Amino acid sequence: MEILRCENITKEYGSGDTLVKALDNISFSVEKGEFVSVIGPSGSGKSTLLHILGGVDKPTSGKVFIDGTDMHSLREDQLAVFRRRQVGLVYQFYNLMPVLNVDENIALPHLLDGRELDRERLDRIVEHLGLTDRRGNLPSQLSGGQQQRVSIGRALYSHPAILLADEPTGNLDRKTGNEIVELLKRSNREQKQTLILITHDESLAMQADRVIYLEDGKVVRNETVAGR
Amino acid sequence: MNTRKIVHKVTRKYMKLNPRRTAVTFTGIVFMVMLMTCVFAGKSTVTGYMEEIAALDKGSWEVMSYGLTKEETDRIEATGKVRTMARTAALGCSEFARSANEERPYIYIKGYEPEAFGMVNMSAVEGRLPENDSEIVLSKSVLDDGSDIAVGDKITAACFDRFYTAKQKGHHPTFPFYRIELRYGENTPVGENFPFFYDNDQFCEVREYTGEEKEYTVVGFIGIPYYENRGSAAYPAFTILSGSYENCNAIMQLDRKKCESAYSFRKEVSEIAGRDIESDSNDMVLAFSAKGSDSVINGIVIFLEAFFIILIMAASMVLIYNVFNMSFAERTKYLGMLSSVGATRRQKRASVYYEALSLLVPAIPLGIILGLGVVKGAMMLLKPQLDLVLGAMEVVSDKSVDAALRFSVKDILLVALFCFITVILSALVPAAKAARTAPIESIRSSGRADKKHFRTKFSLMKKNKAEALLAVTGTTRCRYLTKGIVRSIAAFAVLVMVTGYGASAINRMVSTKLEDFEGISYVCDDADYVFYAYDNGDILRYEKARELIETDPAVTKHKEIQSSCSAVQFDRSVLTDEYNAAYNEILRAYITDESEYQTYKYRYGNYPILSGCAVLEDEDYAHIAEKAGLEYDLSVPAAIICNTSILSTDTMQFGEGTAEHRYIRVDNSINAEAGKDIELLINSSEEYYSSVTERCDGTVTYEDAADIMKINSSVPQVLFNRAGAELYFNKMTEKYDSTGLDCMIYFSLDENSGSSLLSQLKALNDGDDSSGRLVPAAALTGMTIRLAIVKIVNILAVCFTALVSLVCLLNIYNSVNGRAIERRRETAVLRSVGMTGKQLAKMLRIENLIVIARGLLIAAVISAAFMVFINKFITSRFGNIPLPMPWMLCIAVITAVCIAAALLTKLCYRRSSTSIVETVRSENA
Repeated sequence: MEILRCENITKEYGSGDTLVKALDNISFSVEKGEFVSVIGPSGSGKSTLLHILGGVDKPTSGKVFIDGTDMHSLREDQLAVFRRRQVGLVYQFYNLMPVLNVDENIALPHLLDGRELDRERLDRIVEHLGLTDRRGNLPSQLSGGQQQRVSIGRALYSHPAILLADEPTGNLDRKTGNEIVELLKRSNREQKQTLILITHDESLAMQADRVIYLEDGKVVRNETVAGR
Repeated sequence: MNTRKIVHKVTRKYMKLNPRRTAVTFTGIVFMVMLMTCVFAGKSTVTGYMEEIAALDKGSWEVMSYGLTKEETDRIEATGKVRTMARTAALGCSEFARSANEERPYIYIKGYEPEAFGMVNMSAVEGRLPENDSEIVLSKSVLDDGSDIAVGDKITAACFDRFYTAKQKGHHPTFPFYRIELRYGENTPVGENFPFFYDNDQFCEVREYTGEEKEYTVVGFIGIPYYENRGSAAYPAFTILSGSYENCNAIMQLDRKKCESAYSFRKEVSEIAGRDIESDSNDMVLAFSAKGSDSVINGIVIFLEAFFIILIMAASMVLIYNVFNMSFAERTKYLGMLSSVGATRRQKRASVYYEALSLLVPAIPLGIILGLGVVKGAMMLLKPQLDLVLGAMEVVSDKSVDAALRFSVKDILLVALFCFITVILSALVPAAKAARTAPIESIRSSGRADKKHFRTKFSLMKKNKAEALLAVTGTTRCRYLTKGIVRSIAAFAVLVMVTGYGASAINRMVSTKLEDFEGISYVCDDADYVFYAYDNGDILRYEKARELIETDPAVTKHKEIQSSCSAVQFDRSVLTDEYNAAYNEILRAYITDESEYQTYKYRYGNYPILSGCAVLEDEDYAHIAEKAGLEYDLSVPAAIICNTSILSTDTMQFGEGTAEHRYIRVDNSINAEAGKDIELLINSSEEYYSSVTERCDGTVTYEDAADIMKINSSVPQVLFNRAGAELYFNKMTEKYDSTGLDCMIYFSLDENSGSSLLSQLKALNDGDDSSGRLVPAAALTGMTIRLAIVKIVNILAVCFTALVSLVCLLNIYNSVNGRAIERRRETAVLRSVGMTGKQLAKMLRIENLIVIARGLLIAAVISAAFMVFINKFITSRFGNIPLPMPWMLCIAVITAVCIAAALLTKLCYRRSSTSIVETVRSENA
C-alpha cells in the first residue's frame, strides 16, 4: 500500500541570475512499512527533500501525498496538526526541547495533539531506547547518542505514518551511530514503521530496502537493494 | 599586535557579528544617558521654571533684612554672598487728600532703589515707575476705592510716623492681631498696615512729623503689592530712594554657590550688624534649590533629588546589566574560545569593559542631545498645560513664564560621570562572569539547568495541558532563561511604584507646606454661583437672597452652608495628651528658652481653645456620619467632632521669632465619646463658662468629611446638625446680635430659562459688599500661586514617573526580545513537531503569567521596603503627613505590566519567528 507519493517536486531558491534549483522535478513513492534511503553528495538536495516530505518546508511546485492527503494544500495550523499525527522527524542535531526531560520530550507531539498520555507506551519506548535511568534528565545532561535516541522516541511515540531521519548519525561516533541505525531498523522491522533515511554514508544507505540517489536536485537512480 | 589589542579586535568583530545585540545594548546606554540628562537638565529647567512661578507671588527676592544702616548693607554686600541688593527705606505716612475711602486717609511713602521694584514684582499697571525722587507711584487700590487721582497730578507730602496711645489710666486697649497693647501716657508705634481709628474715649492717634516735606508728581499706578492690607490706614506709595538715610531695608538675591542657605545667611546678617536683625526669606522661591530658611525642607529636597537620581541609575543599571548579561550568555562560546587561545581572566574581563565603554563613548553625546531634546519637548508639550494652570490665577493672567531649557556644563559633566559609573557598575557582574569562563565553554554550548534531575510532570502531561507543561518547565527548570524578564518586570514595578510613591510624597509635602487655607471650605465643584455674607452680614438681606434662590424655578440645585472659624470654644481639659504634646512641641520650636516657655504656659496655658464649626444640612451630616460608621439622629441636637488637627510651624506662630519646621497631625485631639454629652463654651471674653451641652455623635477625620468639605485647622472642628446648631446659636444670640457665622448659598442656574434671579441678587446688596455678595462659585475656589505650584509639581511628578516607566518598559522589551531571540530554535522545534500558532500563543501567555507573578512578588517586597524607608524618612524629618498606600497605582502597575508583557511578547515573537527549516537544520541557531 502506498503511504507516500511525490509528484514533480521542484524547489527553487533566489531568482534571475541567482536562481538555484535545489530539487528538480522529483517524483517517487514509498510503500507502507518500507525502509528507503536517500543518498547523494552534499548539496544534492537530500535535506531539502526531507523537509518538504516532513511538511516543514514548501515546494515551489509539485505535490506530496502522505496517506492520501496532499500535505501542502493544508493551511499552516492544519499542517502542524498533520505533522504531529502523521510525520516523525529525526534531525542530525536532535532538536529537543531543552527544558523538558526525556519522558516529556518523547511525549511532546502526542501531548500537543491534546491527547491523554499513554504511560505504558511511554515506559515501553523509554525502555526500548535504553533510557530508563535517564528519564529525569534534560537534553543538556545527555550524551549525543542519548539525545538522538530521545529524538527517535519522540518521532515514534505517536505512531506516525512516516518516519523521516535526516543524517541521524551525522553527529555521532560510529558505534553510537550504529546503535541509532539499529533502533530505526528495529522500529521499521517490528512495527512496520515506514522509514526514510537521508544519509551520505553509502554503507548505511545500503541497509535500506530501496535507495534513491540524488544528484543536483534530480533523482538519478531509484533502485531496490539487492537481496531485499 | 599585542594580546590586549587582539582581544579588543575580537570583541569588535563579535559586536559587528551580532548587530542586533550591539544595537540593543547601545540603545540601552543611550537611553540611560538620555534619562540622566533628563534628570539633571530637567531639574535645572524645572527648578528655574518653578522659581519663576514662585516669584510671581512675592517677587524674585530671596532674603529681605530690615532695620539696617547704609554702612551695614555695604558690609553685607562685601561678603560676596549677595548677587543683587537693592535698598529701600520708609519715608513715613502722609495725609492723602484725594482718598475716596475715609478709612484709608493716608499714603505710606517708601523710597526704593530702582532694582527693588523688579525684585518685589512691582510694575506699573498705568503710567510708569518713578525715575527720580520727585516722582511717585501709588498702589492701584487707590483707584479701586474710587479716588480721582491721575497720572501727572501732584501730591504734597508732609511725612509723619504714626503712634497710638490709651486715653484712660489703667485701661489697656489691645489689638491682638498686631500684638499691640496701648498704655496711658505712652506712644506706641504702629506699622504701615495698622488700620485707621477715629479718636474715641479709649485711645487716639498721635503723629510725629519727620520734617520730610516734598511735592511729588504721580507718574503711575502699580499692581497691588503682595503685602498690602486693604484694611490698613495708608495706601502704599513709592519713590526713588536718594540722599542719606539712617535706617533702611535690604532686598537681596543670594549667590547660591557661596551661600549655604537663607537660614545661615540671615544669621550672618545679624552677625555683621552685631545685633539681632529681623529678616524674611522668600521660601517659595528658594525651596526648589534647597536654599530656603527651613533646613528640614532643604534636607528633604536634597534627599528626594538624590533619591530620584539613584532611581534612574538603578533603572539604567538593571537595563544595561540585563543586556550585558544576555550578551554574555550568548557569547560564552567566544569567551571560551578566547580563553582556550590563552586570554587571561583580566583580558576577558577587559573585553566586557571594552565593549561597554566603546558603546558609552558615542552614546554620551547622542544621549545628551536626545535628553535635552526630551526636556525641551516635554516643556513645550507641558507649556500649554502649565499656562492653563497659571492662567487660572487672576494675579498672573498678564504675565507669562518662560519654560526655557536650562542646563550648565556642570550638569553635562555630572551626566557623563554618573553614566560612566552606572555602565561600569552594570558591567561588573557580567565582566566577572566572563573572566570565569573556562575554555571548555567554547566546546560545550548547551545550556545549564538548575539541577541534575527533574521529576516528570505527569500532572501536566494530560489532555490539553501541553502548553502549561512547556510554560511551567520553561520558567522553573532553567530560571536563568527567564531571570532577565523577571528582573525587568520587578524593576519596572519597583521603580514605578517607588517613583509614584515618592512623587506623591513630594506633592503632599509641597501642598502641606504651601497650604495657606485655615478653616472649613465646602466642596461645591458643580455650583455656578454663590451668594455669601461673612459674619452673618445683613441677615435680612441674606435671608431675602435665600428666599429668592429657594423659590426660583430656574435654580436646579442649591445648598446652604454656614461656618465659622472661631464660634465655639472648648475647655482645655478636654484636650488629649497627644494634642497637648503636639502643641507643646510646636511651642518649643518657637520658644527655646525654658523660663520664657514656662512664662508663656503660665500666662496663656489655661485659656479655652477657639474652635471652628459648621452647620450641616441633614443629608451632608448623614453622609459624614455614615462614612465614619456613626449612629445619628437628626432630630436630636447633636454634633460630630472632626477630631483631626494639623499643628505646624507654618500655621501656628508664637511670638516674633522663626522656628525650624514642624508638622504634626493629630487625629484624636479631644476626648469625645460617641453618644455622650460634650460641653461647648460660648464665645465670650467676659464669661467663658457660659456653655451649651450637646450630644456628641462621634468623631471623624478630615478624610471622613472630605466628600462634603475641606478642613485644615490646628484645632478640632464642631460639625452641628440643624437641631444642634439651633440649640447652640440660640443661646449665643441671647448674648450677641449675631451668630458670627459666615453664610453661603451655592446654587446652579439654568441660564437659558431667562430668570432674573442674578440681577435681583445683585440689586439686593445695593453696592454694599459687606451685607452680602454674589460671585461665580469658581471665584471662591480660584487658583492661587500655591495651588498652581502644587498642580505643576503634580504634573511634573507624573511626567517623571512616565519617563522612568519608559526606561523600564524598554528594559522589559529588551529582556523579552532577548529571550525570544534566544529561543528561536526552541520555537522552531515546537512548530516542527506540530505546535500550532494558537498553542504557541497559549504557552507564551502562561509563561507570562508565571514570570509576571514572580516579578511582582519580588517587586512587592522591595517596593514595600522602599516605601517604608521613604515614609519613615519623611515622617521623621517633616512630620506625620499621611502618605497612604497608593493602591490605585498598584493596580495600574499590575495592569501595565500584564499589558506590556503580553504586547511585547507578541511583538518580539512575531519578529523573531524565522523559517523552521533554517533554524532546525543548523547546529547553533
